[in-house]
Amino acid sequence: MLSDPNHLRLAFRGLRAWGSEKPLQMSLSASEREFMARRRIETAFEDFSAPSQFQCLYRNVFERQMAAVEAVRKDLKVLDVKSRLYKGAAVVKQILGGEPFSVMRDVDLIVPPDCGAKARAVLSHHGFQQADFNLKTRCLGDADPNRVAAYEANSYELYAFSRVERLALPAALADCPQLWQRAPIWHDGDSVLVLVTIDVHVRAAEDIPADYLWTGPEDHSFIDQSTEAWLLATRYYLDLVRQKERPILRDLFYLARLLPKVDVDLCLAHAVRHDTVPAFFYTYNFLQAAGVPVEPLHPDVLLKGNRKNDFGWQYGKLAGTLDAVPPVAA
Amino acid sequence: MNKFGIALTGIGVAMGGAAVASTLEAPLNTLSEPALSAADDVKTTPLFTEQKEGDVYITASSVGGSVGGGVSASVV
Repeated sequence: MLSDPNHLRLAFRGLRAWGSEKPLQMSLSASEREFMARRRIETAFEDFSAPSQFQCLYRNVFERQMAAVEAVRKDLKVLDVKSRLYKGAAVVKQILGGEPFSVMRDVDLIVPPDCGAKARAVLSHHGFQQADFNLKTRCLGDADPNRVAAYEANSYELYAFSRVERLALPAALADCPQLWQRAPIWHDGDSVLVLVTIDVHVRAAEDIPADYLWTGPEDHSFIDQSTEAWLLATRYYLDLVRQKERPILRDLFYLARLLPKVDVDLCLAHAVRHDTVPAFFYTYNFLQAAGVPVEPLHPDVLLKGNRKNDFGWQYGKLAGTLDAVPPVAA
Repeated sequence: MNKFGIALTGIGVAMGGAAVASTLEAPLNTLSEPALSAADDVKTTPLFTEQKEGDVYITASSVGGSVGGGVSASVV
């Protein structure tokens, strides 16, 4: 069952173990695996030294994604366009030793704001199209130019670039596509169709200056980890606030390994500047309480910034529980 | 209640060390295991369809937004 509390408990047990860097390794039942797959953490319970067929597939997909984006970055460099990876691919490469535990829809690349046109040209040269994928014909179809233009108008990213690739279908996976088939990988005849998608960002968000993403050594391949952690934590919390179901737990697993390595003061400085202290505070302390080896933040930090985006814990909702009445009302 | 006076009780219960009752289901040791049962609602809900319009998978995932915008924001 999707709402099976035992599955949820297992997911949080996995998160706690993951944060302590002693992952919970166990064989998942079919429904447990399905539950974890929906949360994009399905192989976080594996012994990666003896990977399952699923994990081997996810590795292959990630390697294809990385090969594609690195080839693009190489040509961008020839054109004097600097670029950096961030979000999931950056965390997997930097923090998780290149070991994904699910599939990522896309790889995110940041380029300077005035280099979007060059990035578009390079991606086109590499066979990428700004297109959507027809699930019936298994082909990319050009996206409506008006839609692309509308999407990119004043946006912090270009419309996604995609290219179809194929992997040989391991025989063991042929009979159970329902257990691994999801965007961006589909069972197609005797192969696995991989939709390699690259998102080109020129800013992290509408109101986040590009400068934050270019700190540190000029040739660094990733954005600063503290900035990454602040952005990941903030996005996750705000998605919870938006009241829509947020089944994906992957970002919390990323943060569980990322937070012990970051400069918390820098995260908070970003958060104060952008009215997102609560988003960072609640996510950080939730993960600390879940066993991530970091010192808890004192709640006084909530008083440092603007409280307009303070919506309380929100994490009770994620865990299927209620938050208690605040002490002030007791 | 944690040391900051902020209640984490409910979350603590959810994350507590209760034994995982997975023994009712066969472990997924082999890939030849039959598909999930029809009674399981995972069979009736396609995986990850939130970016789908008809037969088309929409590759551009973000809806745009701002960090400081709060509720309507989509950060990265």
